[in-house]
Amino acid sequence: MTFPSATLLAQSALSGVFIGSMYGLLGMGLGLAWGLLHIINLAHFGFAFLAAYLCYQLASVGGIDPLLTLALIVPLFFALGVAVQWLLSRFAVSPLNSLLATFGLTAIIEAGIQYFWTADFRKLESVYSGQKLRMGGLFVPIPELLTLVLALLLGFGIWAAMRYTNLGRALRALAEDAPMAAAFGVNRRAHALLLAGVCGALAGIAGVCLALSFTLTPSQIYAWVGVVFAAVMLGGLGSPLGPLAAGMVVGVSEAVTMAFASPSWAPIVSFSLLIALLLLRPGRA
Amino acid sequence: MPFLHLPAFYESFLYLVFHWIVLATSWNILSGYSGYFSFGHGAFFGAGVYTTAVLAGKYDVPFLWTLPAAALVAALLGLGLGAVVFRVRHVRGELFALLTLAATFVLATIVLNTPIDGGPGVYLSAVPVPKLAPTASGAFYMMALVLAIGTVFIAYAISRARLGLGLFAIHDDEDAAEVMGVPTYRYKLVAFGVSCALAGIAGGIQALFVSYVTASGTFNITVPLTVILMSVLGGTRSWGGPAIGATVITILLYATTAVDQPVAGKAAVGAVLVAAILLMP
Repeated sequence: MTFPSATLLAQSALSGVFIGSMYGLLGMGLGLAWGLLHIINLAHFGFAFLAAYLCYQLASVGGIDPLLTLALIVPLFFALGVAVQWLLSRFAVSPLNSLLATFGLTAIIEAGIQYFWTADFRKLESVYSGQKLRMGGLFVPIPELLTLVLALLLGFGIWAAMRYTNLGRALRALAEDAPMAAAFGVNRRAHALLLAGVCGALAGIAGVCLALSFTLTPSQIYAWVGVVFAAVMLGGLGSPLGPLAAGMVVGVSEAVTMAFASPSWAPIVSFSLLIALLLLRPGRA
Repeated sequence: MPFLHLPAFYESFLYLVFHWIVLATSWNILSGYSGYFSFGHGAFFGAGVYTTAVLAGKYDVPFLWTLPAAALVAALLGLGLGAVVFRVRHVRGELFALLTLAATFVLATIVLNTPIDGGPGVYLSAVPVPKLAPTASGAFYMMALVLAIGTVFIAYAISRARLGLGLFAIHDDEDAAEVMGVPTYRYKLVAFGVSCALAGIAGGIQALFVSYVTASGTFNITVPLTVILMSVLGGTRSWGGPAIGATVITILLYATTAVDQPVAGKAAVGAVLVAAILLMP
């Protein structure tokens, strides 16, 4: 093992921050639904990939700017999120059963993606791809920078909304003590559906970012599960900024591992971290 | 059966049915009886696959001798994981499911990056199939049949024994069971060990059946998804339910592959799982 140069390490740390913002963006919707709705939505990853493929289709075949596809994808995935939540709450599922049911849903989405787009690798070529800024000795790719900016904006936006608006207060009250909040006149069903819609929309936005930066293939859906769960559990359930910060910690530690060892070792960092967290952090979930 | 000289297709198809019966029933011994849903059955199945692949494919150990080794490696992995996990009181339900899923990917990464596999996969095409029947497919059929009968019998015996009653009690209310004197830690560990050992043997046989194993093909989400589906569909509290679920789902999957729609098969499995979870009481 040779010791990597300072530039390589700095570049690794930077790409760790970028991939960490992707983890955070994916984790935001997952963690909000888990913490506030007690739904562990594996289909969140399926939705993100579905959005990524839709963005790919619209942008590469329809010739639309990938960022403009958000105008279609955000409302569509808001509706999908609402629909799934409606179904799950209709049958009053436990957290474990929500995990199982959305596992099945993810398999359906994966099969659907494989049917329409095949299992081939797909890479979105857009005006943004391959564009880089040069800062000092470091390269800053534009698609990744867009992900980081979007993640920060959404993270702080949702944090502020949860903290300062009546809607956010109602949601937090419901998570803490639902019957009491209901007694104070908070409409539980409507708020749950709204929040699930927001989580769905977040999956859609994360999907567009995925399409901008990454090569897509259906089986990649599961590659994100471990690391994003690790970020969510590390950052705290039901918080929008926690997963983002934790995602960056995980991302940087992975990227530095890759600088020292072979890239194929990277998954072991996040999955070991997830196992350690599950064992050592009581009361996190 | 193999001595009737039917076309090899029937033997191979029945091999698959028995293979899934073993995996689903062995999963059910811990997860179904005690309610600790494991998403990591693929890890123990994969441990068996790679034990046989490495011993038979690289060190020329006779195939049948690798099967006890496959059981042992898988069981030790399960006992090691269980010895840590079952000590931690809050790792139940969905957290146990996530943890076992993560363990699968850790194991896959280790296998992929060490000389166990190293990346290109392991070939077993030079390994002779044991002469248990006139044809190779017949031999696989015989091995899987014996293993399936053995697994279902073990599942039956456990469900009738103190161990099974203890596991059912853990499922219903673990804290109450503990207070009533059920040694919950030991019961869960024993059930996990048995469950993993059986999955390991199934993996060992499967390694020779497919004769070329890769890390991504072994440690993917298919095994946990399918066994959970089969067991939930068949009934997790009965010893025979997973076997029935396995038979039905294998036929369903085969039917969609036969008409050249394997993707539709995957979607159908997902849809059945969603429907089963939502509609079952």
